[in-house]
Amino acid sequence: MMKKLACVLAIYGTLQVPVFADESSNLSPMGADLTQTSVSGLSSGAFMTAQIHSAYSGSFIGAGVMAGGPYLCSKMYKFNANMTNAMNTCMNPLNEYVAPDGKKLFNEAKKLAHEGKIDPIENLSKQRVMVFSGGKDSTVKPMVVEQVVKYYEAAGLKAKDTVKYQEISNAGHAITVDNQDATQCELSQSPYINSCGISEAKEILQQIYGELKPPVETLTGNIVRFNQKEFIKGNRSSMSDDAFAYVPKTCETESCRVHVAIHGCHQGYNQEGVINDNYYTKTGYNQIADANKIIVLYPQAQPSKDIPFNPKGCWDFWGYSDADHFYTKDAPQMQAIMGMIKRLGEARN
Amino acid sequence: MSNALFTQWVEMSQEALKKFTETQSAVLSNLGQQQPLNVTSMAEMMKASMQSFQQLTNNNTAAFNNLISNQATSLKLNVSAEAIQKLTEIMGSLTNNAIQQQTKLATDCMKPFTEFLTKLSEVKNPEDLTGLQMKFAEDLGAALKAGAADNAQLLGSLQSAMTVWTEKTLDKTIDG
Repeated sequence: MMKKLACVLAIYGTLQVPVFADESSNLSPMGADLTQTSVSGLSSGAFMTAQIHSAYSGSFIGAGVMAGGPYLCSKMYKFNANMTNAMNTCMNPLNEYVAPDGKKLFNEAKKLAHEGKIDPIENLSKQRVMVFSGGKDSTVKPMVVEQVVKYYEAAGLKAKDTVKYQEISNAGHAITVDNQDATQCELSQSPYINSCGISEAKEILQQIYGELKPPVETLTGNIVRFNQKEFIKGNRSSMSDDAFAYVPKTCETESCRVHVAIHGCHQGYNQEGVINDNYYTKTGYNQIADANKIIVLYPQAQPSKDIPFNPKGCWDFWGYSDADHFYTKDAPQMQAIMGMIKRLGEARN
Repeated sequence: MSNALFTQWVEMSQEALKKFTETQSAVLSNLGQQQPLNVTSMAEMMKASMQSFQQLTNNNTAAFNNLISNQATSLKLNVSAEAIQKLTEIMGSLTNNAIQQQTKLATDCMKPFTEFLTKLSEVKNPEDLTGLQMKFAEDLGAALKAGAADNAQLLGSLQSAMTVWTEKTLDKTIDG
């Protein structure tokens, strides 16, 4: 397969660090330590995070949910279609009475685990979780995000310890970074990466892995662009042909941990030139990962304007990829992501 | 069943929202034809906008009363005092959201107008004025379009909320 190097600029503060993307090759095995795998995401990526974290709870040790709702949210009210729940109940319900109920959803998850459709739900009680919402987020309101905490509390996680919740009062709908060049904190606009004086990526990784070394200023590793298609089954996944991973220099020879960072709607790299490399270079994950031997995997969704209907390139938390299985271990998108994680854990060639 | 319960409310809201948007568009269209634009026209537009919003609120209240007095009874739903209270809260949330959106829309519409007045002093010839007016119409159109999208979203939330209320009320009726 022909290899082509593409130069990508990773900007951190005023530094511009060239990293290289290896286009169109398969993801290489890296002998990663898969007992230390975690996941986080923003918006639809946060819903996907909650989903994959529950469905494959045996494969993760923690999760970070930014501006998203609890697992099974789109199935909250049976009189509403999944998409109606997703667009209203799970994003901007009129009030708490018609919002999702995290405790009730956890009970539904227990039933699924009992039926063997997802991993044993008891796995969640051993995990560490960080949840963020923005006080000025009218896309996914804090009252929805708070139910993620209720879900994990029902799973046995204790507030302020294994599950932490922070509402950033002046933040819009975005992942927040500690970088003044990013979008103004209170806005909810592309690329949904806002300057609020706090790096959510750093806080999430610290909550999951404990005290970490501070982020590096100069990246040592590379952004690897790889063929994501080989992990995708069927033609309804709405996932891009390629995806990305940040591999710190030390992880080229040592066994590293893996963190999966899932973008939100309108944030895939190939969304009509809007986002490009922003999510996988400017969200702060790579700098903290570099200092702490963590490979960051960035799976990519893309828009699909007809069938399946996913015009904004969101991750599937309401059923466009497979209405019967999108929330189970048979879900096409989750299987693809798990395939990528598994590959990273395989012994180096 | 849920449709029968709240269709009228939703339809009345839709009609009011439609009129609201149409009124604003009509005034905007008049604004675009005026040479030069004047303050009175802008004030007229804002007045029309406010009147349409008043109509929207009135219609919602009327539909709400109708829902309580007729439809819930005719469907033989065991609507408890608590359920009525929850419905009232949904109505309150709807109104609060609508007021916030209306205030935002008014602010968003005033911004281009303020900019228009500020830039007016820099106009040197008819081309400048035409350009300035076109920019104003474009910005105002964008604000109105965003306002219409917000209204549509609010309507979706209302529809979903009513379905949830019905589901929860029926659950309690069956349980109770």
